[in-house]
Amino acid sequence: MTSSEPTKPNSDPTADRTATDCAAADFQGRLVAEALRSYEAARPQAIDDRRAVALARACPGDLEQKIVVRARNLDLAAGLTEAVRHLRGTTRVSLALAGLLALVAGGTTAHTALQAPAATPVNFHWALVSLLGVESLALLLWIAISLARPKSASASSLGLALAALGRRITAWLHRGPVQAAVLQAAGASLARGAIGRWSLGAVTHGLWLAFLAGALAMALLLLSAKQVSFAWQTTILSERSYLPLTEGLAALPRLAGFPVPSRDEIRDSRWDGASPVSNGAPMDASQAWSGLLVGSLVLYGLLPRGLLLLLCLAARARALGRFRLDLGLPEYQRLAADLVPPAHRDGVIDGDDAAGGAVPDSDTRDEPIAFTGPLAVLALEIEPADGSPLWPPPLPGIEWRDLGTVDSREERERACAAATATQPGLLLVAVSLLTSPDRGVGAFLARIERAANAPLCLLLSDRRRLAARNSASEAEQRIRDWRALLVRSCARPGWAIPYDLAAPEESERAKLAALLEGRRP
Amino acid sequence: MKLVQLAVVGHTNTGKTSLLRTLTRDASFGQVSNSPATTRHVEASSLLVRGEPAARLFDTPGLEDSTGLLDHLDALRRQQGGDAAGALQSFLQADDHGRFDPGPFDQEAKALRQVVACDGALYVIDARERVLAKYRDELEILGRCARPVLPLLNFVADPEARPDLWREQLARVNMHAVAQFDTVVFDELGELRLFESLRVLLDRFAPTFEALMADARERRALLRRSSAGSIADLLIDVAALRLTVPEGEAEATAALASLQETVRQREQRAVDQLLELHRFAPGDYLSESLPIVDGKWGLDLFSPDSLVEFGLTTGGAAASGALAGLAIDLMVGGITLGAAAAAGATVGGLIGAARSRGRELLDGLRGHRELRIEDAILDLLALRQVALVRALLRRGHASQERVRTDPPNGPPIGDKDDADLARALRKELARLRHRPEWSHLLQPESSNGGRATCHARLTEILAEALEGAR
Repeated sequence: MTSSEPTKPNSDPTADRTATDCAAADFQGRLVAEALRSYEAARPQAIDDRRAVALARACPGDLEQKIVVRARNLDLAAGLTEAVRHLRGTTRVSLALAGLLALVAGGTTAHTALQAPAATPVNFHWALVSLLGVESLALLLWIAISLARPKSASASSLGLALAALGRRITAWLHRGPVQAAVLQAAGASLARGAIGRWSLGAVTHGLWLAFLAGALAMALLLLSAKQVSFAWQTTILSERSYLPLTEGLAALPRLAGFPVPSRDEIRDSRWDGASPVSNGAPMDASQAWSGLLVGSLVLYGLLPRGLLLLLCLAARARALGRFRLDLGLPEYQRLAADLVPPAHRDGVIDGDDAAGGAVPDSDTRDEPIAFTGPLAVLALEIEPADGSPLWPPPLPGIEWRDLGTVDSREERERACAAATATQPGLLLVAVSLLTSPDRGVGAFLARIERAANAPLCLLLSDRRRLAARNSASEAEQRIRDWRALLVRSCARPGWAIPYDLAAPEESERAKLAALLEGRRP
Repeated sequence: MKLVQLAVVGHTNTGKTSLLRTLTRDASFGQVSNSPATTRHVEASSLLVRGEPAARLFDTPGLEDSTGLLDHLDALRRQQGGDAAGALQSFLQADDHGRFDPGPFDQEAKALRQVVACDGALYVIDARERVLAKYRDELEILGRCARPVLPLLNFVADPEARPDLWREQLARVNMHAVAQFDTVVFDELGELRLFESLRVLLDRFAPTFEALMADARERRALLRRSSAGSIADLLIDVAALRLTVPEGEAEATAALASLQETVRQREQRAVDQLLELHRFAPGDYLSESLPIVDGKWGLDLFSPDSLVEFGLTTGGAAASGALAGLAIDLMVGGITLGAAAAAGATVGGLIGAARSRGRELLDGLRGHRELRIEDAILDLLALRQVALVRALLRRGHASQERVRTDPPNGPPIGDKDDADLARALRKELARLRHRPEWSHLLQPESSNGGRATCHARLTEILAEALEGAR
């Protein structure tokens, strides 16, 4: 459906190549390629765009690089890139909105926490717990789950919830095959490990950071514009346990330079709920208490969240840089056949100039052989048959002159000399059908025929073994090839019959005997 | 990485073209037959690493008459004087008048000229053959070419092969580095060892062969993974498939037929994809018999026989099912998504043996039924595909035989490992039962990270099972 523009000839695909075409793959490019994969997977056929494939092949690099270059050069690429941009924009807006909400939520929380009925001091510890309590609990949980299951994104439940919501909204906002493919690709790359984990972590920390920032801003606003006095209360706990608790809490803010209440000021700030506020805490004690509140917010809330946000962002950036396409996916491997083929045919280098391809069909004879003189026999290039009771072929009333087993050059010389000396009426040559009838054998057959000055009869052994090895029809073809060789090589018409030397069938034996009946004494 | 040029030589009909086909994964390179002298020209193909040629292989005509050629060369030497190598040189060169007359040895001249022009040669041997004098003569002539030669024993997977005999004979002519590589029954380790032997023999090109080995390993691993991924896609599509069928006998029959047809087509697509991944093209083979349509693959997926063949217990329902061995989970749902469907699915899963009674009950309640594929059919589908991939992984690109799922050297089907695999897959697939939106057969464009995660897990399980097919 989206092939390349037909007007542009594809003869030289590198001609219109621009410098950016081979640019190294980045996350964006990989995401587009992944989206394209989803798009193509949902269709029966991959997009067939020869131009894009040719461009990708012309670029140096590995399969992934070529996949990215192909995706970049398809007509669909613009739409996909646009969809990715859209998705990114939607995500940004959603995140900004969520951050704003968190900011407002933080401010509201601080406002509520620092609000006290008229003429009553604000309970310091109570306010601190309402500002930092849930946040610290969530932080501890995040750390615990992240340590226990480092491969899972389940720690960032806030981010997960937001992502689920975002997916619904995006799917609803952007409908269409291309958008669906991009969403799928983004989802798949997020689902696959590090990127998703760190992104969701960053979202979680970012939102908490916004919440705390809102709280801090509201607290500062209230503390600057209103007179707030702090106190602490207890019913069942003793003063002795509250003192070290507060001092311990104040240790870090003190180090950081925040004004914190002294031991005496802490002791004096206890409020029994009955006395007037002014009796509870003097003015500079209130300032010290506010310093402790702000310091705690910054040091126990904003600082760890901020650091974790930076950590997640850094890890996310690293994960984005390390993101690679899963080349083991079948869709990519099917592209691989075109993009990085395992081999390339270079064509014929040294052509066949001897037009001797046509093999004459077999023209060997089948009728009995008429001849006079002794019967000679030799085994050519087959297992030494010496000593075997089946060699030479035992036939009643037939006596063989055995010229032996022939293989090497010397043996060939000797056999030819013996053939000349014997002057046989007929020479039986036993060969194995397992060997290919090559020109070398043909040359020897021609030579021994001349030397013997007699017609040849080929005994073709091992037909059953060949049929078992290949197939019956292959065996028949091989027999025809041997017959053809005999016809090509010899001056006289000859015979070629299947005959198994190791275990001759009765029919083979009968055939051989019948052929030899033409012998004249 | 320097390009290395290798001549592939050998006696006629030992599988030189087959070697090129298998090494280049190109099933249609050149011409292959069991007759001698099928290849009568020199044809080249390059192995590519990242698109760059790393090794160029030259397929040469077979050496047919080495004995005669040796006589001819000896005659030349006596005529001209000089050494044996010089005689070969002058045989391969045109004379002063620009005439080149190799006599009857045209094929041999082509092959030897290529050897001399190359960095080295692979001497292909049919290991089923006896060590005949003509082969020794070929080695003698190759020795005079003054190029490194690596003997390569082909057809070693054949029971008639005698690699030890050949190694002994080759050692006698001082050839101790010998490679074994069957072009029909593919062995990935054999291929790596072949490159390793070449790396040692041609150490100038060591980085080239190392790149080739790394590339071969990577391709192989990716092939395995993508095959597993392809099967995983099929299983998700089929396992999550769920049809909602209105009440009525005629509707049920029609829905069942449609389900069967959908699944059959989906399986055929998976088979086509696997063949494509492994670079076997069904179209190319049509006349030469690759089609999986007949033989084992022709078995009806839904017939009880087919299940028995794969050694699966069908849990009674499948075998005795009134509808061609397909047991149906008929459950409530279809009208509402969410809680009702999930609850219905759970009930449907629990009912199990008492399925029919539960069905009647729930049918009466809702007036709708759901149709999906039975677990035993899913097992069969998975095991069939795994068996096919195993067969393909062991299939050389020179193979002319049909793809079979019970290769003589392959693992038996329906054994304990397969049962384990089926169990592991069932566990994963059970989660899919309630995710009809993950089946691309129903929703081609469902966008869901969950499907990707599930796909990855299934791929992992299947890839591990395929790992056993080394």
